[in-house]
Order: sequence, then C-alpha cells, then structure tokens
Amino acid sequence: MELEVEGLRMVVMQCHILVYYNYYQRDTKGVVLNNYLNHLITTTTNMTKLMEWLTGAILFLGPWTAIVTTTIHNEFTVMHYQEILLLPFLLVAVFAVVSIAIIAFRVYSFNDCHQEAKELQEQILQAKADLAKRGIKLD
Amino acid sequence: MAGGDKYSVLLPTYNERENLPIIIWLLCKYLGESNLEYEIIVIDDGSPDGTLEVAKQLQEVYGQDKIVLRPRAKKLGLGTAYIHGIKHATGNFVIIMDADLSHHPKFIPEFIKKQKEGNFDLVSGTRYTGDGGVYGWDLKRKIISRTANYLTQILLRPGASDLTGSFRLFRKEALQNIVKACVSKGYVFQMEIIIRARQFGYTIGEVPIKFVDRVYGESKLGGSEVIGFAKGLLYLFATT
Repeated sequence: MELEVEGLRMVVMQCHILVYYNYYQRDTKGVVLNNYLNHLITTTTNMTKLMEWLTGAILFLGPWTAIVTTTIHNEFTVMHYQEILLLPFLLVAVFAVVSIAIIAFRVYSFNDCHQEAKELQEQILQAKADLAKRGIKLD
Repeated sequence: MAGGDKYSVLLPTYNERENLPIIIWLLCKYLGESNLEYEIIVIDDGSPDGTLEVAKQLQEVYGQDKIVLRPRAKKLGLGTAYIHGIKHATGNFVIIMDADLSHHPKFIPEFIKKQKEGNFDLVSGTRYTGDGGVYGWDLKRKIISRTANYLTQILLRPGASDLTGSFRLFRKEALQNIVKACVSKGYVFQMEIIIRARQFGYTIGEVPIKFVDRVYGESKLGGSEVIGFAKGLLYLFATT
C-alpha cells in the first residue's frame, strides 16, 4: 500500500517535471526553480498574488501570535521567547537589507551600451544617405 | 530559414516623422538579410507632424507588400492599435516594437531563433539579463527602473525578467487573446501582457536586448509615471 502511494507520488512528480520542462524551459537554474514552484502554487490554488501573501502571513503570524500571547507554550517557546518575539521584525529587516543590496548591485552592473548608441548614429547617417538616393528627403 | 513563417511587424506611431524612415530602413535591412517573409504594418494615430505622408513615400520605395498602412483618425491607445494591426496582419507571427529607434531591428532574427528553439508562444526582449542593457539613462533612472523591476518580481513572480519592455514577438493568436484580456494602459499594459500570457498558459522565451533611449524627442519618467506604475502593480497584485 505504502509502495503504491509512493509510486503514484513519483508519477505525479514526473508529470509535473514534464509539464514544467515543456512550459517553463529557462536559461538559468534560479528562474527554473522559481517558475516551477510558482507554476505549482498558481495552478493548484488559483489564488491571486495578494491572497497568496495573506495566506502566507496568516500561516506565519497565527502561530507566532499564539506563542507571544503564551496561548501556546512549552519549554522551547519559554526558553526562546525573546527571539521568537523579534523574529518577524528580524525577517523584515533582513529582507530589506538583502533587497537593497540586490538592487544596488543590479544598478551598478547595468550595462551601458555606448557601442550600440554609436552604431545606431552611424546607421542613421547611412539610412538617410540611402533613402535620399531613393528619393526620400529627410531634414 | 523562413520555413513558411511570416512575420508582421506592428509599428504604432505618433509624431515619428523623423524616426519612421530610419526604423523602416533598418527593418528592411535586417529582415531582408535574414531572408524572412515579412511585412511592416504602420498604425499612425493621426500624427499632426505628417508621419503618414512619410510612410506613404516609404511605401512607394519598398512596395505595398512590405509596408502596409493602417492609419487611425486619432490617438486611441496601444492596446487597440495592436488589435487594429493584428486584423490586417497576414503573418503567423507578430512583432511589436517602438518606432522611436530605442528597439533595434537587429535583434529580431535573435527573437525568431529563440522562438524556434523552445517553440515559444512569446519571446520578450529583456534589458535586465545577460548582455542586455540601456543607453542614455542616468543613475536616478537606473535606480527607479531596477527598483520597480525588483518589486514587480517579488510581488507578481511573472517568470520574465523585463515586464515593462515593449519589444516582443508573439504567435498572432496569442497576442490577440492576450490583448483582449488586458485592461491597463502604458507601462502597466506591457506588464499585464506577460501576466495574462502566463494565465493563458503561453510559454515565454527571453532575448537580451540593448535599449538605446530616444534619439529624437524626450523620454519621460516623472512622478506621475511612477505613481501610475505603482497603482498598476498593486492592481495586478490584487487581481491576478
């Protein structure tokens, strides 16, 4: 019985992978993972992105609230109460810092296409000369 | 190389009298050199600067099979311009691009190659990955652009790296279905195209492009564009 379930799970996984390879073929590994998970979430839940975020927030903040109000408490939560209390704020802060670092790096590494601009200027002159020969006057 | 495929380039124009001859010359050069079946559909929205007259002269030079004129009486928006153009397109693939020379036609053969590689429904040009890039943007513009792009990636997880670009290749029926489903305007319209494409289950390939910001005329990115973008992003976040 367990083997059957496991086999079925593997088949489902493989179907997903097939679907993904046909539909979400990408150049980089990072995008592959993002798209595959994204595809699974979107097709299985059919939620808007806002609902996904709210669901995530409730799944996280629900237990968190229960712990910080000591509705739920055990040895672990009592021992690490301070850390748990600060966890959401810490996560937001880390996310902000990482985001700023990523954006800063991307701004820094944004290609400046000087060569392309030069090439275009030359081609504009070529085009004007050629079109003038064919009877189209440009200012 | 053609393999029975024909490519219809949609060029919506408004006051592009200076740019139009150049972009058409470049299109004919690169598409001709690649031995592609193609046509260029100019959709001029009643430009007061005489863009249409220039287009007519170009049609005489290049022929009515290559340059197709489908003008409209007044400015009616990009979405309806695409629909209008598709109606008259005889190709099975459609390419959308700006006529202001920021999108170089030399990338079109790369789009086509990419489309064939993955049998994609849509190939989108991207300024943000690989060899892609921009020319003519100052630091402020780069920061705004990268931040907007990052936020979009986090909130919408679109599976494409350049959402606000408008240099793309589509299967004709894909573009038709997507545009009919779209409700937004401007930058947000280009974003919505990708989101709707995903909803339809269309596959997306990407090609890095080098974007040379407007040679003639002003490129605009002010406070009202940023606010419009933020509203559009939140709209798509809450509804899709």
